[in-house]
Amino acid sequence: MNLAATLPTILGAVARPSDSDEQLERERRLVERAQAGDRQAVGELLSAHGPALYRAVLLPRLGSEAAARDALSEVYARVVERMDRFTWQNVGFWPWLRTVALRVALDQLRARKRWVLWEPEDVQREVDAAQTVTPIDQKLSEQRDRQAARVKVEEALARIHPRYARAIRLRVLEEQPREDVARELGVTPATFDVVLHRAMHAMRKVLGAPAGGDREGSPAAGRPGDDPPDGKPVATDTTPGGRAAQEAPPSSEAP
Amino acid sequence: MSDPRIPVDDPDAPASDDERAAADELRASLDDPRRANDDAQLARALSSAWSPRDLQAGDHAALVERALERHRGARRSGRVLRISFGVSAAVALAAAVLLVLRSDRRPPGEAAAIGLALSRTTQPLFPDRFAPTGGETARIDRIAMARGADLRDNEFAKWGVR
Repeated sequence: MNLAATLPTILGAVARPSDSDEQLERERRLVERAQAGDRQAVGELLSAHGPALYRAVLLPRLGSEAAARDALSEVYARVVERMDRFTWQNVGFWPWLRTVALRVALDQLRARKRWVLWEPEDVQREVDAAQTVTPIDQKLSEQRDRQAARVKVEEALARIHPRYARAIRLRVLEEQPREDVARELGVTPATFDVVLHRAMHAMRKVLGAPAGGDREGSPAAGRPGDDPPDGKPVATDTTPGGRAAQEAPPSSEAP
Repeated sequence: MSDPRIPVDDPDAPASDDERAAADELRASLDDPRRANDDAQLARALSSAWSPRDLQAGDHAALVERALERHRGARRSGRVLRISFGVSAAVALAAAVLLVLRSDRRPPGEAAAIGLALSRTTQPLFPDRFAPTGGETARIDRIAMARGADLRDNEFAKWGVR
């Protein structure tokens, strides 16, 4: 991972006003009120963290807005149901909420067959890792989640033909118009459609194969006509900086 | 023979008709998320991981509201459970008291009037002194036989067949 690119994000996260003691104290009082049955306090907690939970944890792992929305709803249901199990440990509400979300995402990934970057085993590792980290790591976990998702995409792109990777990068990731991307690649729009189709197929093949193999779509890659293996894609643990040692633990009983 | 829809190694190699059809299908599926297509699904997953969009404020508010409704429902059902338990206990207590009072108010001569055997000591069944040890089973059997006979007589008396 490029440390120079990541450092400003990390430093920004450390300096965020929401991480101040005042904010923590305010959140602690909200949690107390929520555990005493105050509906408004529950609503404030969910509203404060829900959007980030959706954006940084659920959507990247589940790969579909509808699935992530369903998952967020389930997370809220579990939080409401198990609020009394949460024990304040001076690192805020986010780590516990994130662990709930990871578990919900894990359930969904196990239940569905969908092309996504995360395997259930990856998320299981994240849940396990969430038990063993320091408070500062917990505060950084939202930024780290978003960074890790990008690293996962970059690693997958690095395993396919550069021209395919470029097609995906421009059209899918940067969402440039089809005609513009075709011009950029020096082909007609109709030919670009074929290139993108081949690129997505190559991507599916590398996600369905163990990491570290030959580049897909390159001359050294598998033979044309090979079917992708059944089942879901296999993704490597691309967490920057060795995720297993840095994930945030839940601040109370894991839900 | 290989599937003609499967892409070849050369990104710019001429496409077969099937490959063109699959490419058109992908383009249509990217434009319309309701169309089922594995490649489009993966494209959306990549996009979601690369630059996840925010949840619409209205959608999020609805999810929070639904959770809060559950919160209210859960607390209400907890309260209802406690109230139900309290009411049930009170009713059971009242029924027990009523039973005691009613049994006390039963006319003492009612049973005797129809000639029912009444509860009484078992002493008449054992005119002799008990031995210091043994004989318990025999005594129990004697009581059971006597009371069994009483029960049958009482049933016959109540049915009016004695």
